[in-house]
Amino acid sequence: MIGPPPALAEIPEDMADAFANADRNADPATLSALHAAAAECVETLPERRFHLTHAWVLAMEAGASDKASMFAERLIELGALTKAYLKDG
Amino acid sequence: MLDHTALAKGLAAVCRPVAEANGLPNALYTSPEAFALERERIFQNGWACAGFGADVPNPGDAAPVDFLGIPLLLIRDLTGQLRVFENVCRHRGMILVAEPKNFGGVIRCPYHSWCYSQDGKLRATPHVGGPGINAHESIAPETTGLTPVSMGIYMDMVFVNISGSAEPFEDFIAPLRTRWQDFEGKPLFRGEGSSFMLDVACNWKLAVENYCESYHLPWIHPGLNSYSRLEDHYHIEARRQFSGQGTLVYDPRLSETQAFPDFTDLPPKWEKFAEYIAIYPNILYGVHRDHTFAIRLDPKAANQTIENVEIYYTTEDAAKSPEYADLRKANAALWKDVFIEDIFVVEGMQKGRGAPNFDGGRFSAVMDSPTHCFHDWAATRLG
Repeated sequence: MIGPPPALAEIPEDMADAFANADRNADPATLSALHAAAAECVETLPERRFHLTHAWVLAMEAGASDKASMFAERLIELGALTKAYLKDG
Repeated sequence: MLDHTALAKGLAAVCRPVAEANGLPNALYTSPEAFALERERIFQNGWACAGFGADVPNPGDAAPVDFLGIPLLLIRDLTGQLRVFENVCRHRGMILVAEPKNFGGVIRCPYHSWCYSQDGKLRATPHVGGPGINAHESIAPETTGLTPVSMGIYMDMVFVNISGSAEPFEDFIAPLRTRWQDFEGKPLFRGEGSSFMLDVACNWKLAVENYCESYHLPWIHPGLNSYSRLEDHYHIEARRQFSGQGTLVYDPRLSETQAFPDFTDLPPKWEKFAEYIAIYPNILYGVHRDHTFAIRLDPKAANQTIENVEIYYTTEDAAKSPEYADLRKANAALWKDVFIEDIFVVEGMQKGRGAPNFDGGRFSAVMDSPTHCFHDWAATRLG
């Protein structure tokens, strides 16, 4: 889940290093931010969905509701999530 | 192999009047099959205590519980409501929470990261429809939340009914609530440094039996008996509900200069009365005007029981402040000594159940009726 994303080549080296060294028990807010940043770097839709998925899940785990909602809305726009999963959905 | 014919015969002998009855048969103390039977008929089909509210004191706190092999999760949600769920992800059955933890957000399964909110709703199924696709028509989040467990709370004890088939919790607890109505609604504060655990090599029922009766006090607890004599005690029996004993001469002597504050507005009788009741199946509770305690029995095997002890005080100050720390320490040590004094008898009775010709024992019709009351309840549940 938190391991290397599919297209490390497309993201900056320091970000790739951060993913490569990520601990699965690391702070979810930090990891969410890392994935959110990666989502802005990648070029393909599958890669963007992948990173936004992780940014969303980890933001929810961190209790960052506003950020989680924002990521969820983007995932819905990208056809990667349904409203049934939203808090009041 | 458990001989069910012999067991039925033994159970019938238990349900006679106390003067004619025998105790529960040996197999119920020694046989893994009998232990499995109790697990189903007593601990799953009825109400039993799985933990304490104080185990999850703050919003977001979650505590896993191994309830006779059933993984449960106690969680206090962000509104302060306590809930109990099966502690498994609805996806692959992975244990969700392995150790006590505070959750600021959702509970994320450590396996494939399915997520649940603290009210048990399924909130995320990442990649369930393929990489980056987080929904699939075969998974309906509204029907795939954590599995809730029927629960009820009384005096901070969290009771659960795994099967969901028992009577309503309020019906179950009503007789005790009535008996202890003087304590109804009084706040309880778990004493800091007052929790301890005893690992005892006996069947859980022997701990209940020993707790129910005052008959053994002069022999096993001579210290207690020096100021609370056998004749100062009375039996408490509510048939097929609970049983225990009370004392007429409660007189705490922990310090020459300091005492715990009493519960407010108690009737005068509690100045000297204290009561010790076994709430079947697995709680041994004591009430006094200045503190209560609970022993939650956690049966691990036919011949092993963990006793989890919690002591509660009447104010937050008494429970937590440094001013009362020495007094709390002395009180916890007093009770621990008493409970340790009981270990050799319950472990001795466990060894005694290896005697093939022991017939469950004969009761004193005068002194053992609270114990017989428990046996009668157990026999009814198992018969």
